[in-house]
Amino acid sequence: MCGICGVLSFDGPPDRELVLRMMGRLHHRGPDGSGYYRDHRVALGHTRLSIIDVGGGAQPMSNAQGSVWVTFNGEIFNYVELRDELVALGYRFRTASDTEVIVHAWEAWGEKAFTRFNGQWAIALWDSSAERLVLSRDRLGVRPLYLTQHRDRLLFASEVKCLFADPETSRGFDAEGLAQTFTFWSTVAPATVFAGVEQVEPGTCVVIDAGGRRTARYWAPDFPARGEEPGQDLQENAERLRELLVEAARLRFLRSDVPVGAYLSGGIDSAITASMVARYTDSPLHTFSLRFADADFDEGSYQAEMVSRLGAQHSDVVVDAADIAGVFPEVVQHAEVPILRSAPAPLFLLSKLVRDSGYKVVVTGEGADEVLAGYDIFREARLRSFWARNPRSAVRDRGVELLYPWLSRSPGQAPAFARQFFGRNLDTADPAQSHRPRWDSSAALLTMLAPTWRAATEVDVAARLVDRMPATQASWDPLSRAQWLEMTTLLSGYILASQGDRMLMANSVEGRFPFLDHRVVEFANAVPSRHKLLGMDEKHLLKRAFADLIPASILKRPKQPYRAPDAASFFTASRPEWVDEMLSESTTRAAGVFEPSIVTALAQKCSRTGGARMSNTDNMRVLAVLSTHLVHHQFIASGAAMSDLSPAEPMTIIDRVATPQEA
Amino acid sequence: MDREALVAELPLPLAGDDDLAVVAIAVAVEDAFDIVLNDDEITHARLGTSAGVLETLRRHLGES
Repeated sequence: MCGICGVLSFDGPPDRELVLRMMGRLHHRGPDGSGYYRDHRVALGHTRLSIIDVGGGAQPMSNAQGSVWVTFNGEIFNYVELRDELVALGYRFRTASDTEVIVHAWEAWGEKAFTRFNGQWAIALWDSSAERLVLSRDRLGVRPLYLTQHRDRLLFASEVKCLFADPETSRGFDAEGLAQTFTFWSTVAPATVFAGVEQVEPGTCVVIDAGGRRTARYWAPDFPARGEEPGQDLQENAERLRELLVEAARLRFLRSDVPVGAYLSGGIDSAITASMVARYTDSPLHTFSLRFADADFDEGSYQAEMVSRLGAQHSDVVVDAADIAGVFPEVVQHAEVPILRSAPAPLFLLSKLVRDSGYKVVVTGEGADEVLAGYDIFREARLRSFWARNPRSAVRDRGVELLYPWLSRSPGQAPAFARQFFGRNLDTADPAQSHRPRWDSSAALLTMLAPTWRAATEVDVAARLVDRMPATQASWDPLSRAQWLEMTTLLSGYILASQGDRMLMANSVEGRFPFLDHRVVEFANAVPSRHKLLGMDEKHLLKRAFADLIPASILKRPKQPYRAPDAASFFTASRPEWVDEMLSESTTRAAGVFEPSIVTALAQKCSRTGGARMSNTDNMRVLAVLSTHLVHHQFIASGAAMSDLSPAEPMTIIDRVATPQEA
Repeated sequence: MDREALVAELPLPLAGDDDLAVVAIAVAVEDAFDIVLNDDEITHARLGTSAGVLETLRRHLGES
């Protein structure tokens, strides 16, 4: 796990100082060392968090001839098996690293190499004989990769802040990126919230050579037609899922030359991940948990039960409102996007605990809810479809009372409101029927925008997303369509980014996600939807597969999504000064995104209420304003300054351009 | 898959007489069999057991 960056120049050799500045801004992703390669066309930078082949895996790395160069962030978990294949094909290895496997895999298989990788990666590969730069990202977008192109050069990096190390990179919000964020809660690749900055789409590689620039897709989430799923037996599917997940967890726990810890949230997914490690490996297990001072959010009793069952060494961090407000500006600086929930902040503090405990790798349960249908939005969609089959039914609408039982103001306690809310747009022909209530309610944020941005964001981002769905979606089960939407929007854009990679790497910790092993994903996508969501029972197949490993109290508890106090975190009596500053009229006018009178009214409301007992929409509004203004202040405003650290030592330099003085 | 095998996948029998749990079974039955139950069938306590679901299906499909 590392940070990567680089420059492809169309006019003279890349600027060495620029590459060093970019590398410096990735210091947190790679505190164990750094390196760069430069020739007359390209510079590849790397900052290293050493995990595999600690002594020999310095990057950038090349083949023996020095004609193929790679800078790489992530892990290829099946590198041992691929290495054996490549050795059999005649390739010789100088290191024990997965990076060298990428180099030779490219030589052997070209772009098809990416289909053979089981892992999480962002790769920049320079094939100097073809003068070809290849930027590749893993199937589901675990690892980030951004790029921007100027007149005479193209820059790429793990984080946007590196691209801003080039004074020629323009700084401003992107209208479509904002519209997506304020609708889906995240951007959809290749869009970002910054104008002129793109991200490489998950499951694709971008190829730039003399023929120009093209994007090649090597993988996409796919689903069979409803009724044509290959495996129909529930028990057989549960057993196969377990086999695949155990193998995925073993790969992610054992393929490391440093100790690996495990997150334990108190829910099913992380309990299964940690249990697989305990059951199927001989390695000692250290678990890490997040607790909340506010009992409404705390899952400590479930965590304690699992720790006792696992016999693990355990550490936890207790987070309160002041902690969230205190770190939020730093959280946004790492997330680099407006965030509509405070939930990333406690995860930032959790990864700090991991790092302070001497660990730099953790396995977590991320992805299970998307892949195996755990989210409430899937249950909600199933019920709305049930209702839509006979909207005049006197009993079907009662189903909404089954939704969101963990909410303090659940639909069961306010059924009339719930019927009104969930009963809108019951159109089963709409491919995005599952997500309309969420998108419609989030889009209330767009009404806060200042007139200029309101006009600029008048694009139907939902329609554009639906247009991108595969033509075969018409034959899919409705749950499959909902899963595709969730994987394409929130998974890579928020869960794996703002709550995942960014909060982990902020403290130099790598996350590994067994549920996102592509073999698990492909298998889960192909099983009948009823096995994943049986009526209203979420993750049914997963629960069945691991019923013997997980206590009934956790297996049968209602799904409680990970949440943290939102607006209430920012309006305590001891709130930090930055909160008032970010809500001030002068900041609002300087950023120019929101209508000042609306922000002022919202701030007054929060001051009156202490941010407590606010509606979901108001919570979103508060977080949207605070985080958007922080993004503007940190990245866009004139004079916004980012600290330029030196890249970590030791530094490996391969410079084919440098003068003797520079070298 | 045959009807009995699909019904065997359902989390039955239900404990108690929670009418919302019956609604959840109705959701699962409609999803598994691609049918639309009428209100009487949904509210009927028969959905609380496998035998009851099979009977409901037979009646719904005009087999008895």
